[in-house]
Amino acid sequence: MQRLEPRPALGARELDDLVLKVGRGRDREAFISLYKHFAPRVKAYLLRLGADDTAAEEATQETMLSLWRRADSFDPSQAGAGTWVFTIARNRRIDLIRRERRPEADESAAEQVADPAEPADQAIAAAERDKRVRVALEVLPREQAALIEMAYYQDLTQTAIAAKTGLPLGTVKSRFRLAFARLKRVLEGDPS
Amino acid sequence: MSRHHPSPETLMCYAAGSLPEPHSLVIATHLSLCAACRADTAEMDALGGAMLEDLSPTLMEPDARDRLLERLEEPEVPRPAPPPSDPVLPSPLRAYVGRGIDAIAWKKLGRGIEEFRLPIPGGDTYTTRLIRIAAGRDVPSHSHDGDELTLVLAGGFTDGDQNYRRGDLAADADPAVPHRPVADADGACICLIVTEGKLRFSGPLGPLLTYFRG
Ligand SMILES: [Zn+2]
Repeated sequence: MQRLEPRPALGARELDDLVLKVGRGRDREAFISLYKHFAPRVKAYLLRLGADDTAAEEATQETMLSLWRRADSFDPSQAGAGTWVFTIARNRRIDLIRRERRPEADESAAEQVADPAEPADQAIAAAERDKRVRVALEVLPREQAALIEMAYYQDLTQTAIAAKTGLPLGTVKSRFRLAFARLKRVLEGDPS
Repeated sequence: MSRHHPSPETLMCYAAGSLPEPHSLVIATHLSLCAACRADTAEMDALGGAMLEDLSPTLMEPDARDRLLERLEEPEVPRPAPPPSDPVLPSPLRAYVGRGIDAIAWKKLGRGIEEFRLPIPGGDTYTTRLIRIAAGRDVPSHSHDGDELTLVLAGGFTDGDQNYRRGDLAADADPAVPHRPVADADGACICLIVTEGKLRFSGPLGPLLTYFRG
């Protein structure tokens, strides 16, 4: 697989600003910078998930086209540019490669069945959350990180992961729970 | 008040995009009703974003960028308008059902139970249905070959020592252990259910058996 020359990666703030420029002014220069940053990563993501080169290239183009068209709905207080692009790439892959639909939650629904006080209290800014998530990824024990990679990069459900690794389903579930508990601790400001 | 949410591993597979479509629909419907799980899912999306950033970039075809730039002003195929709101069916589910709750042609299964099968890809592996159980009636004791996800949309039911109401998600701890859900007395209980594999009835069977075996 060909690799690009190392190039200084754009920071999270810069990426957010570029998406905002595309959203507000249909700024093609900003879009080209975003394309240079994200297209090779999105393609790598799709290849990791088993797409062949043609399908990965095609779905990457569609992801970038969606970025251009939906940039006006980008809200950096909800999610940073990298997270936003990940969700677009994930959804386009489900559409175009898996040929299924991706049902999305209705975020505007006013009705809440759970106690809403708890998550609001814990809410942290998207930028801070993205930073802490990176820390969490680095401190996750190897076997938990491996399961997360299988879910995100191999399109495997917990049951399929159990079958593939030969681990009992209960072990897979508990490792996911431990990984998520770790993530939560780091997000709440405890990196240990 | 008991609240029943999807497990972290199920939410994580939803965020990763690895859940089958019927399960994604159940989770998206729960998320439409549950801000706590929406916040958790946002964190899992951020995990996906961080992992994307860490991947070694792969070269695109040399002319890919120019070809895309030419397409930027192409007219976009209009996206379907969001379905009208429905008091029972949250928007993602309403889109799959294709009609409001009052317009559903329920199929009677007997014993106060009716169903409506959703047209959703699942092949032979999964069955996705809405089930309506008359107040106070039970579903005959049964077990599963695989997992079953049940999301309450109206009314409620009790299974063992657990009570489930609108928005609550029930997933069996052990699909092989028979269970017998009973609808609460305060009205019909409507649920969205995704079943993997065949149902196995352990009690007196009745007409349901042949139907569920379908
Ligand atoms: Zn929830």
